[in-house]
Amino acid sequence: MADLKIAGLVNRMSLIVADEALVILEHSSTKDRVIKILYENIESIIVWKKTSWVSMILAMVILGGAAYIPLSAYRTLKDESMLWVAIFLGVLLVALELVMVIRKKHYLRINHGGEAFNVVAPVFPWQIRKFIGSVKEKTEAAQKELREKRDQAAHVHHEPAEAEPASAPLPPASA
Amino acid sequence: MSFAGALETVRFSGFDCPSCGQRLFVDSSGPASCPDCRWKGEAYIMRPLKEKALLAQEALPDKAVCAHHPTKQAEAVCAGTGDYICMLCAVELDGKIYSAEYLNRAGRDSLEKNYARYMNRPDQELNMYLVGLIFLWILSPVLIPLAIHKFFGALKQRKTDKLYARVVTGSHLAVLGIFLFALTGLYMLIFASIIL
Repeated sequence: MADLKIAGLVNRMSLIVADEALVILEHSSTKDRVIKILYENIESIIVWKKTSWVSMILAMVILGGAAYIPLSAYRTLKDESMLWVAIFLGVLLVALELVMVIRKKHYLRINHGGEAFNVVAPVFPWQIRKFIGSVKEKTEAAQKELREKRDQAAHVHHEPAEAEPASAPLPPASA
Repeated sequence: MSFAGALETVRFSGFDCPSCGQRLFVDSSGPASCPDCRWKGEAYIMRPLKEKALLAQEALPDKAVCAHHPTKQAEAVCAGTGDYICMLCAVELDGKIYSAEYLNRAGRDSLEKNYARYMNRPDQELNMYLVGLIFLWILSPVLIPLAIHKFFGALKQRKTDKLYARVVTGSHLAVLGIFLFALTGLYMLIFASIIL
């Protein structure tokens, strides 16, 4: 599934690519706020990303500091277990930093019906690509279907003998 | 549903730069950047249909009559169907004018799809009761029936609500159920041993 699940420190959110609309669930303790954005109304999706340098530096300071304590203990006490603890924390730090470099903060702006819905998603790039790909596909299909219906309706209401300018208002549908 | 001339394809011409707010003009999907603040990103451009004229003054010819009351002069254009409508039919909703006829038919469903609402999460409440059962075991005679009620509530909602079924998987509820009934059995054993 191409759904996007965002778990932040404070907010949790799910973006669900449903059949008729893009459903955004803002999770809370006992209820979810449901926002539906119809595919036919989506005008554009803007994506940009930022590396969270503050989090990276924080992780480096905290884990680096935590790894330094057993390392200095190994130097003074010559206890080999302390060295293994320091190595473990060092590997953890490197892995965490790598994940933070790859898993950037993605900012999504969904413009629909003159409004913009903003989402901050700390997810992997392939997750966001998959999500946008499926939203784009559904949106294009919905808008194409709507255009076809509009064209069909216009074809029924327009008599070919009367050539009207494109901007002229059409007669009432039920008249 | 009728699309009598009220809808037209809107060619997306641009968007505001998320960093400095300057209008950026982009014709097609792909990488986008702001020349002023050097913001970089990607833009995916769609082609929605939009109402061409929402207000009566913009589209109404002088002799237009209401589509539903042919003897009455048209005062507005329905934003849903594009029909000319009189004041009897016009209903203002969310800043736009719709015909009562349109709202009584499929239009109401279509409009409601856009509105925000709330979805109950009995599984989340069940989670809280389970945590309560572990740390506040003295309250278990109250918490266990509440938790069981929420568990069956979640099962029922899964059957009726498609969206809920998509968010809360069967395996998720199964794990919660196993945990709940294991705790219930444990507390029953403890209380039975205390009483006997």
